Amino acid sequence: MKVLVIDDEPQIRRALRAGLEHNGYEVMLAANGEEGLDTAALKIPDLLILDLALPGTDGFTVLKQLREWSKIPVIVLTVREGEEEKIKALDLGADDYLVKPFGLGELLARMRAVLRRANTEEKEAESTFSYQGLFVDMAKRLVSIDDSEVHLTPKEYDLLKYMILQPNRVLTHRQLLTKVWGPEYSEDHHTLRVHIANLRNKIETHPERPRLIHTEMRIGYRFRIDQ
Amino acid sequence: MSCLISLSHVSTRLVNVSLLYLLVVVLCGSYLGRIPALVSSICGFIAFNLCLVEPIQLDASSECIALAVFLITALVIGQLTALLKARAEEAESRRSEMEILAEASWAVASEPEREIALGKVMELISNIEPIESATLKLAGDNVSENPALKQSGETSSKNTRSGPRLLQTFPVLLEDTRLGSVMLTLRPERTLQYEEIRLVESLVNHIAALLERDRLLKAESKASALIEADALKTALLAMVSHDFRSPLTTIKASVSALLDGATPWDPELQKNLLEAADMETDRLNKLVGNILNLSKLEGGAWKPRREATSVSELMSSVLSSFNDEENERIKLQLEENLKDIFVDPVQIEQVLRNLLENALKYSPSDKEIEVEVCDLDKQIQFKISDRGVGLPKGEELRIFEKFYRAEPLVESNIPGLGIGLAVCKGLVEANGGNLTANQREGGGAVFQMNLDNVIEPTIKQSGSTENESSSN
Repeated sequence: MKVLVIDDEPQIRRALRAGLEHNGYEVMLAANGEEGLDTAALKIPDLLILDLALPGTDGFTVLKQLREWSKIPVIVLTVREGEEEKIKALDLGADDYLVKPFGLGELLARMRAVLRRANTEEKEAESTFSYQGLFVDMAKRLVSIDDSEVHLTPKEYDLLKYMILQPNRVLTHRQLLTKVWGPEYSEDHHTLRVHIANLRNKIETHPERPRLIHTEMRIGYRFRIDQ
Repeated sequence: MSCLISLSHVSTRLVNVSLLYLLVVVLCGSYLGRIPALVSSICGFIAFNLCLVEPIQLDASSECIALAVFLITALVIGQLTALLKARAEEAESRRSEMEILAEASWAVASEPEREIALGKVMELISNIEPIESATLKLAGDNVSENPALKQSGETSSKNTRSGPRLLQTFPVLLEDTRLGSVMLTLRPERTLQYEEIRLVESLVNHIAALLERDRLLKAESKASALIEADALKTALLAMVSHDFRSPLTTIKASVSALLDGATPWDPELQKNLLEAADMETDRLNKLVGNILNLSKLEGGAWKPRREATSVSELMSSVLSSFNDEENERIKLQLEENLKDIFVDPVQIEQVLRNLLENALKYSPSDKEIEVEVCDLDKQIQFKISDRGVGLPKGEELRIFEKFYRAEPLVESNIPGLGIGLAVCKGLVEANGGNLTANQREGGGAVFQMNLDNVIEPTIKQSGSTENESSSN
């Protein structure tokens, strides 16, 4: 598995290289955006770890240019402040984000999730999904909890399906609205909220403390499953 | 006068007629002034002599005396009346001058806003009769002054369509410093009289006093801000030296110990050292977050992006950041059908998380934390009650002060800096709400947060989305 790390901070590159190589990844390093894009084009890594705050060509630009020709999974690194930055990166096609400082364990978990998704996408969507009593049959559009069927409206079903196909990934409001309702609804946050609330009532054991559909305030939702 | 003469033909008595002439002189004196009084007394004398005395021969010496007495009396009375009138006018103008000055003093004394007070004084200046308009140029302003007008009281004429107008400049002086100048445009063909110049000068002095007062006020507020900034700096220094050093010490000690490869480490010990370093890193990171929050609180840099936020969604997001064990202890009671609140969801989430962390941190691990959310018509109330150590008596307000930590806590080894609650209050207030704390009956503390709900209920909108989804 080849991982490309684009970060201008030499100590972070050094730490990530050590940590990732120790876990069996082949690591390539780039200190700035241009170098990163070149390496990505030449060596075609399986995963990209990208710092958003790069000098010169910043992370957003790198992401935008990368997405013009590649679907390589990308995890962006950001500082705590500002959901704007996260939303922007996710909308530009980042697969996940991590807030600095982070533990290696967290990074490895995100990497595994992102890579697994990339693989399932390649293998075509599976026709059934099952997790902790929730069962979704995508061929028949059937949803059941502990073997008893749950009735979902068509939009609720589409929403659920879109989320379970990308588990543990933060899906922005815009992404969900565009994919499930269509681009003309991309700003209709209220509609999304109502449907998420309904969906939680139908599939969560404790809707007020949801375990499956997790809220990322102002950013979007994450369908969380333990791996 | 001629009317009086015709009247006098009716009357035959000489003395009576002379009194009528005197009356005319008095009227002229009191209404028209000194010169008309003089003219009317001489006219009266001639008319008296020609029209009335003519039929009678002038040889009678008594009549000559009467005529002379008439003339003298007429002159004296005329002048006296005119003088009286001038005095009265002068008194009146003094009175209005005093009134204007009193008004200016009041404006200077009572109006805290510099610009408004200046505007009032300038209006008083431009209300003086011969002045058409007045403008104030302060020394610091960018408006370049006309060099020709720099000298005090210097006048220059400016030709406009409505005839020549005078421009006059008065310097605003404080001791010997020139703070600016007041430029007057006079009405066509008018000049300022001595009294008016004096009045304008007094008003200009008021402007100087006002500017000086404003400067002093600013200096004072700057000084108190500096004192506060200094206190903050001291606190920050203490924080950096103590609270930052201790986790750094742990990290440095653990890591350098591990690096020292002289003796192989027992795996268990190695793990302990690394866990300590890891924990202290988190603590350090939290400290950095706290300092960032503090600087934002200081600078008033929170710009909430308020939006309709669902309380249940907010609470679920807050609770998901706590682990299962902590979630067990948090009892949540949400009123049915709560309206959305109008807040910045990320900031309020931070506040709730912080309050809950506090409640968990300061109460025994077997005690529950109760979170109640209820609708108060225009606001939504969040109530977080614990059975912890409670609040120090009489210091319910102080706990929201920066760096304040209750005395028993300072001695305890529960870590904290006294920033969290100050930040919470700052955030809640930035979002238009309020946050209070009280003793709880039976022990513990209650934190109460009231937040505005969305004024426009979104029922209509949700109805339409329901239709839309069912039609799909």
